[in-house]
Amino acid sequence: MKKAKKLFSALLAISLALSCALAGCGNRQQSDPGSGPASTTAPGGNSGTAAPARDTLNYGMPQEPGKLDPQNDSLLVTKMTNKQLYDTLFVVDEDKNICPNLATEWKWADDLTLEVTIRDDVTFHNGEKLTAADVAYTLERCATGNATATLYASFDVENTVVTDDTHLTIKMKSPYASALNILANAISGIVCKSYAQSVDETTFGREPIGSGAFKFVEWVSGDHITLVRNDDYWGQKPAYTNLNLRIINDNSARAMELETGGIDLTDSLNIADVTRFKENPNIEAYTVPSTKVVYMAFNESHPILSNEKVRLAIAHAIDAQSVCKMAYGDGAILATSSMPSTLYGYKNVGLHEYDVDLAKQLLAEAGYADGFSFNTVCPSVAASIKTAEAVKAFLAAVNIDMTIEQYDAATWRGTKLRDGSADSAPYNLTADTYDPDQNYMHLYADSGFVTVSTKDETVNRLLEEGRGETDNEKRLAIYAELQDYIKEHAIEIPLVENIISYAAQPYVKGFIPDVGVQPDLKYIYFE
Amino acid sequence: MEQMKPKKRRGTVWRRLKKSKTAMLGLGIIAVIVFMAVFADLVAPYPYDIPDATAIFQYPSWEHIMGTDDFGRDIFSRVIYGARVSLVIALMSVTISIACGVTLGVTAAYFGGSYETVIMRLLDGFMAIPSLLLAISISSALGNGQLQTAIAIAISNIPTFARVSRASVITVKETEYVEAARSIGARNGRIILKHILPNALSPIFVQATLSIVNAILTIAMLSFIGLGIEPPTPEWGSMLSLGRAYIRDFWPIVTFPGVMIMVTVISFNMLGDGLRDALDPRLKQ
Amino acid sequence: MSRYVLKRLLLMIPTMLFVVILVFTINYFSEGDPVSDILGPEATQAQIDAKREELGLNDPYHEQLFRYIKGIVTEFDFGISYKTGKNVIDEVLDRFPTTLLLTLCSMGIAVVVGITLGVISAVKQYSVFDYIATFLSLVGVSIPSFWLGLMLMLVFAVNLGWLPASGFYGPSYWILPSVAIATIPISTITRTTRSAMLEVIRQDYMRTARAKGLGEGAVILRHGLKNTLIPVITVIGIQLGRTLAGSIVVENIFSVPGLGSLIVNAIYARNYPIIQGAILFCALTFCLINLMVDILYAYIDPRIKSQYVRPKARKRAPAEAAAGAGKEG
Repeated sequence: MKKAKKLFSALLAISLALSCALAGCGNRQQSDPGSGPASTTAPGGNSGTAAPARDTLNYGMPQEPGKLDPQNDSLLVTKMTNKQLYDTLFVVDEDKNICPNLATEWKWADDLTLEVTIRDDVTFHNGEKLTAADVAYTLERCATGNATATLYASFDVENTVVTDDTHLTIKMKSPYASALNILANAISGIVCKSYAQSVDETTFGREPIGSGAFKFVEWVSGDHITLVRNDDYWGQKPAYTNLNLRIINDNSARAMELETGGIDLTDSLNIADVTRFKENPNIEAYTVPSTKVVYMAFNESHPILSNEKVRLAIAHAIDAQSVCKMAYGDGAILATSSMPSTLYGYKNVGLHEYDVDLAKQLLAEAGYADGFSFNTVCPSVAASIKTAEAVKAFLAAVNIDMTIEQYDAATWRGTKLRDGSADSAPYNLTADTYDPDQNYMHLYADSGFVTVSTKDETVNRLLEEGRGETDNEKRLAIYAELQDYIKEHAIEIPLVENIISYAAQPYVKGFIPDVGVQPDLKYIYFE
Repeated sequence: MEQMKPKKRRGTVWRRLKKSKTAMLGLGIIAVIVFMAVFADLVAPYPYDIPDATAIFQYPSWEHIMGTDDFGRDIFSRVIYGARVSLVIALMSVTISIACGVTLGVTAAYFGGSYETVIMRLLDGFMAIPSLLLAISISSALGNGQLQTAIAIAISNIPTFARVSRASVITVKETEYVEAARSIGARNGRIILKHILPNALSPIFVQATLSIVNAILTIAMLSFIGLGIEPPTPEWGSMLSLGRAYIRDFWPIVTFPGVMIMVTVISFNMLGDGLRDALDPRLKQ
Repeated sequence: MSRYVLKRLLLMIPTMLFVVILVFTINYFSEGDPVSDILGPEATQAQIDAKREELGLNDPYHEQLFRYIKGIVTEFDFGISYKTGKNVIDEVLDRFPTTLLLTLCSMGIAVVVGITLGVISAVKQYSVFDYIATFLSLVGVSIPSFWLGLMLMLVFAVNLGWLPASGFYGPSYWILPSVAIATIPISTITRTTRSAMLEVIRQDYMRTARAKGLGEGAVILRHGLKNTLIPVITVIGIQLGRTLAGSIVVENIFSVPGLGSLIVNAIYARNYPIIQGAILFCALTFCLINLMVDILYAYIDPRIKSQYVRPKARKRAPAEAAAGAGKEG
């Protein structure tokens, strides 16, 4: 049986190779003298190794981007794609340090003034030179963009001064500690001013022009986006020519596609697949901590949930360890704070102990010994549903009846969390700027997310202070205090910290797994 | 005479139905499933919604004959409760569509004229959308929940019932006993209820079994794509949808709900086929 | 005949108008909000309000409906996708060929397999083959296609490695999704062919043909099959429409970039213009298929054709045929 399977896969590989060769003849002959086409018997010889030297990276994306416009689409897959197409002023390295990219030098003249010098040797994919004017124009777009406006609220873009082609001064309305992190995020990708002004918004997002390591080639709706190496790139040029981003929505399907060789690299897999891949010598699996904590958020206008004792009782009634195991398997670790451990300012404050008796006692003190009922609203996402199911089961043990309502993600985020009809929700926010202010963004009293936000004065004061504090020590102290306070008053109940998974073919080398699911693919090479 | 007629008919239908082995097998299985669904609290060995972190992903054993799921819940118990959910929603939806569809169809056929034209044109509009697509869009508009799902499926089935009942009423309408009833001055409502409907029932009946089949499959499909029933209600489709992530590593979680759907649907189909043959011997193959 | 076709085409206009209103109304009353998905989780309340205003979502029902219909009628404009900013028509037409191809593949399989199985089991009635075919067609209509899709993928793509698991790039990719979708039409076509054939076999002209010394195969093919075409075509027509809709979930499982995945993703994101446009397009296709089936009848069966020559005499015929067929499926 096994032999037959191998024989068959060998036959398949041969026929594939043949058809590849035939297709190659049709196109221009690719000369690759580096290693003769015969020496392709890589170790662990599996199906697919018979193909000639690799020149294409097939990446499996879990979703389709809306428009490849950095400032107007905040989907993670869009940011991921834009990271390949566009450049940002700064980049964040693996240790969360801000590093130069387009910007070569920068200096805070004062808390509100950032002076930046940019590279002189950068051109856009259409051949135009990238200048400080393009940066200023990009900041203008950021101030109003759908994906950027909130994060750019503290930027005073109207007063940006372009000194010359390579120098500009960026102004702030108020001190903003995370400004550089935001400028380093893919949403701040520098766009070409003349191109943006000459085409309509749809074309701009559909046929993007950036200055990144890859150029846009084609976008087949619902199927794939193809990019090609930018041979005029100013930085390290990719080792391969084509980057094919295939859209495969279903996690299991994507895993199967990786196993059958249809894609070389993918992210966001089901944890069961990742676990299996880790034991599979023919697949390289990566797991890294994420930038999000999943927690239970409570609507403070709910008459009972506004009671701190009740929230503490709920916190003690939930065995987060079991929730983690049941809802995520190995796909998450126990949270240790209201902030993920990957972020600046994180402090390990631990969770409330699982103690049913204490929970019952607290409920009795609050006057709800016989329990009460409230609803939780979750999006139609397996992990959220399962989190809610597990929490429900634990609350049932202390007579609290939590009903679960499920909505599509758009309704959940757009209506239910905002209009106050959700008493609680399993919530998380991806803080991909690695900045704590983004992590707590919806906790602000005026965030519009009624179910998630808090009117607690201490929390709001600390948030404001943290946002404006530019002194490193002081800022760390503020977030430490905030995390303690949130735990002590059970403003939210953290449960788990997600894990980001990637899996790749063994020949994919040089891949840096990004905790924000936006890997930079230009460093990849094949072996 | 008209009092006698339906009763006598029922007898012969039952006798014919009894002859069909497949129909009886189907009926038997349905009886078992219905019994389990009704007495789920007694039949199910475990509660359907209490997780057990110590018993996650257990393969079938004497303790858990279908194994346990990712929450350590007994799959067999969940499948049984799932039968209750599916059957209740299916029955609700079929009842609603029969009530609306038959009313529309019968009145359209009986009164005719512009009333009939308007009704049939409207139904054409409904029928222009493939029923699954209609169910999906209505369900996404109404939101999740048992009643909402039942209504979504019901609406997409109304035109079928209207057409079937209209067609059969048209054939009955011209028969002598209806003429007779009309000539002695019976009122419209009485004629429809007492004379026309009972004699036009068999195709509606057959359509009802087919619609239950359809409803069960549609509920599962809606839940599978995230519409339909909210957890932790153990609906077969949502069990499949959530279990899908483990398809490779733990087969029981996607196998048993799927098998249950299949068995239920097969038995309804077997019963439906038998019923059709019994009600209308001319169609017997 | 052309008068009949013209009349049917004209009748489609009010039907489609009704569908437009229906679909728009369903979406209007759904409680979701597309705006937050357009703007993403970082959006402020002010941005959301502005976007709602910009899209005209705050206008009263009748104004929005009127604007929508007016756009369609005057400029053939079905709106733009909230997500991509592309024209709805372009988005739908981008995806439609894929769905059509998938539908035709699965219908091709269904017709060939279904008719073959049906004929053989009718000819060899009560044989082992007949029982197996009957049982299989019973199972076929009872398997949820999405479940079958998952199982096929597991067995043939992952465990055996014979076929690709997802995508839609060539014939080898078409097989699994087509088969998953084809089971229901295969079963119904088998059943219909079998029963129609059984009826035909008992007819006198078959006996005559046999008496003339024709071989059994020739008798079946030349005389039998031809006379079973009407019910079989009816079923194929109905199944073609259903397959179009049935591909929705299966497309999602196999990542086929067709209308189905477009619709489902649009529903998740409350991308109303896409939902409406795609459903309208399906409805239009569905109506055209029905019309084609009706026309086909006329060519096959002279008796039906004669009705169209005097359209007034038997106005109800096509409707009745459809209703009668509906209960078969």
